[in-house]
Amino acid sequence: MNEFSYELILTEISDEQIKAVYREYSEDMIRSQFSYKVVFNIKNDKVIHFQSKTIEIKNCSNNQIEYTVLSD
Amino acid sequence: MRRLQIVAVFSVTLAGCIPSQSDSSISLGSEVYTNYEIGKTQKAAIGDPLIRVTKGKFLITDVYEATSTDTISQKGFYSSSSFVIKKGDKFSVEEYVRPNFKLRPLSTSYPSSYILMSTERQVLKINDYYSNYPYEPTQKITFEKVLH
Repeated sequence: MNEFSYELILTEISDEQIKAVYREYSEDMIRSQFSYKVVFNIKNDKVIHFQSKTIEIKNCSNNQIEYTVLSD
Repeated sequence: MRRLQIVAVFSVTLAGCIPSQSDSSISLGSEVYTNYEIGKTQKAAIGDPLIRVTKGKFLITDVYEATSTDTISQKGFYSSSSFVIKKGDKFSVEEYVRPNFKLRPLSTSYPSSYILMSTERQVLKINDYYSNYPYEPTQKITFEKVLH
């Protein structure tokens, strides 16, 4: 089955920033040329945007966040 | 989670008709799987996907100005070809050429928004003139079943 996937993997959480890695997959094979790191500043604004998605960060701890995807 | 997402509306030309900007169109949808639900609060730890989206097969969800079958032909600048499609015929995405690609509605007012089909290889290519200059294929979509 021909599938295309992408994901945003959480890599680091602090009070001011959330860091993640964007990855794409085609047929479960990673498309490494399309992987990149993403940093979101959340110090002043708890709503972040990635591609067409809007995400609200509700709570942060050192290794876990609570979030809501508001729209995609 | 699973949902059907309409991702694009393509302008096509009915075979035998004079091409015009208001010809019939096809809606293509794709099955989309996500690890989230809009409006629902969830948790993610380091190493977890904050967002994960998987797009599955494409499906013709409707054929406008058509009954059960239609013959569609190219509306672009490559060599012309045509074949019959039926409502419910499935497509699958074969290749994504550039990252973050999202099929956008191709307005019927754009004469260079087109689909290209090859009857020999049963391949339908979709090119996006405006966002992918100069005319590189952005996606290649293959018919799931032989139509001829």
